[in-house]
Amino acid sequence: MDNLHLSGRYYLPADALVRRRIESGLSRTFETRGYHEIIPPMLVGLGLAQFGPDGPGNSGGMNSSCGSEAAGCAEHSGHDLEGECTSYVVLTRDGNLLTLCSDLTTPVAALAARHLLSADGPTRLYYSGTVFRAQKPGSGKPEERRQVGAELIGEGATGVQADAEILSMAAEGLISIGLHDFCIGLNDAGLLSAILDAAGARGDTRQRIRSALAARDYVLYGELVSSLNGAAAGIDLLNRLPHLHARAEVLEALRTPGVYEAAEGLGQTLDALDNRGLGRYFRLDLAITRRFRYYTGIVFEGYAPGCGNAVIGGGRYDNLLAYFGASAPAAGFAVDVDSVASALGALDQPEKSGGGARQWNWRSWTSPASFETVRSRH
Amino acid sequence: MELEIVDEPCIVRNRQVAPLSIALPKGRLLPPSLEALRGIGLSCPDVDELDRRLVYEAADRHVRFIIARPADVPAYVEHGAADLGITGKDVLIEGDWNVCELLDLGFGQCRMAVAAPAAATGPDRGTATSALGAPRSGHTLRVATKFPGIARRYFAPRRDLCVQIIKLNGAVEIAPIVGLADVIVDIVDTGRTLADNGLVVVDEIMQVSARLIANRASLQLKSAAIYPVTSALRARCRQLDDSMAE
Repeated sequence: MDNLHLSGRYYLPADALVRRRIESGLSRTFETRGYHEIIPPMLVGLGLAQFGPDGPGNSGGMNSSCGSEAAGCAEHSGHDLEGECTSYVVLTRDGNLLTLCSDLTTPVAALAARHLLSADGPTRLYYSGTVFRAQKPGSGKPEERRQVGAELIGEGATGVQADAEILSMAAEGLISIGLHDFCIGLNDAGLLSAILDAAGARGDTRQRIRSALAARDYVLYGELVSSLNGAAAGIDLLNRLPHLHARAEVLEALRTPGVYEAAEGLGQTLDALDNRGLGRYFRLDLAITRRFRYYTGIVFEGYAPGCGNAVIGGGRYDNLLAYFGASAPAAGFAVDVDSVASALGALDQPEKSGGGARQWNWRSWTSPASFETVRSRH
Repeated sequence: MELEIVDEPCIVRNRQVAPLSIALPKGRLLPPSLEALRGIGLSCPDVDELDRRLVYEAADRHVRFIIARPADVPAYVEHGAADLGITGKDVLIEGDWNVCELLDLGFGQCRMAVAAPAAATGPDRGTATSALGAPRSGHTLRVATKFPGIARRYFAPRRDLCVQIIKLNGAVEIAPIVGLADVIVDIVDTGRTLADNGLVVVDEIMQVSARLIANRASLQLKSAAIYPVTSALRARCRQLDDSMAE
């Protein structure tokens, strides 16, 4: 008996058409802004998996023990609990281990570091590809995810201008494929460190605060924060951090001593987006922590009505290229094509779709022929 | 309750804002959940009404309630079918869900515990803790539970034990009586069910209580509607805490 049902997703004609439109729409937007397409591989060396989501130490920023690829792998296999390793590993015929890409930024950064950097200015790259992440059975989440992303890498890809270029292209990309109601939350990965410093959070507590925030467990987060005894202003800011909403309110709160300098860039970036007429798609959200540990500057994730997952995510990763032998600043993002498709689907039928429910013709429904085999197993 | 629209640059403008949907847990958490929501001024149906209808829309159409099993509430919230949800911490830990845990609501407090037959832990067979420390040597410790994830994590550091976890969907207490398992991992409220079945708690794994959870996208897109609800609930919890302390 074939085990078709155990595979990844098949795109039926209607779905395939939507996916194709999204991908080609995004590609066009990126191309008109001078980005060149590259095609990353699906299989990469196992060492790259450590940089992906849930790589070792993802909550603590990069640490030196993961410097060599071999060390990363050893740590990875050490996570024997809770299925923290979400990468698929493939054994080659000669006994080597490869992994199916669990994110595409890392292989693109590795490629750029080795072959594509230029002294004249930043390299602009875009790609579409599939990422693979193991999911718990029954979670309903796809193991294969189609992504289209763009990366701005190298000399000059730094500062407010570069951040604004990436963010505005992210918004314009989504607009170009027909999304209008989306909202992109923006944060800076360095900000939390500055706030934690100001609040006097150290060692184990600091780590636990970070991971509680990453897991969006605000209950545990609140308990940990109330155990701190640093500067009152810093602790107060930590307490309010998950509940700050309006932009003026957030910027006001960030005028805390020791934090203001780290937050300056964010304000300027938002101003730059306002100047491009895109400010209304962005909001500050200091609770955003991406699951990728390579981010060093801005981090962002966007949501759209009709889809419970983020439709877009990205940020700045100035230290990642150093792992591949070339030190260079970089920033980029990836659009989750399936999430965009369900948000677009909800746009088509705003009244009926409670959560992306589709129209089925139940009259033509027949019991699947294979049902007998289901029955015979019991 | 008046849902006040705060300064919101990203709010959906060109279409009518969809109602806020809240997934509520069937069973023992339902009455206190409704009481809490009523306490902050939301017009809620009563329990009997909800027994008959699994989806209930408030008269003002601002809020919709979805009734689900406690273990299913995070699924509704994670996938965005509900913006907010109320369920036990035990469910959240067991499933490792991608939802935001906003608030400890303070009710539904009980313990997640390991329990074993009193006979196996009696004075003649050693103390309660030694029942786990030295199970019949050479045997696998069989653990019956509704929470295999929590049980696995709890026993994982005990490298000296060989543990077999058996997933059950209810009435876990009878497993030791009929010889299905040596111990159980389960929620203990008053401890009466345990006592009725000749079981005693040998170790407490953690305290659990009801939590308010939210969908990550909804937090961004519907914050103008969610924020007043969460801050009112937070204020109410604090008030109750204070009055308890007095």
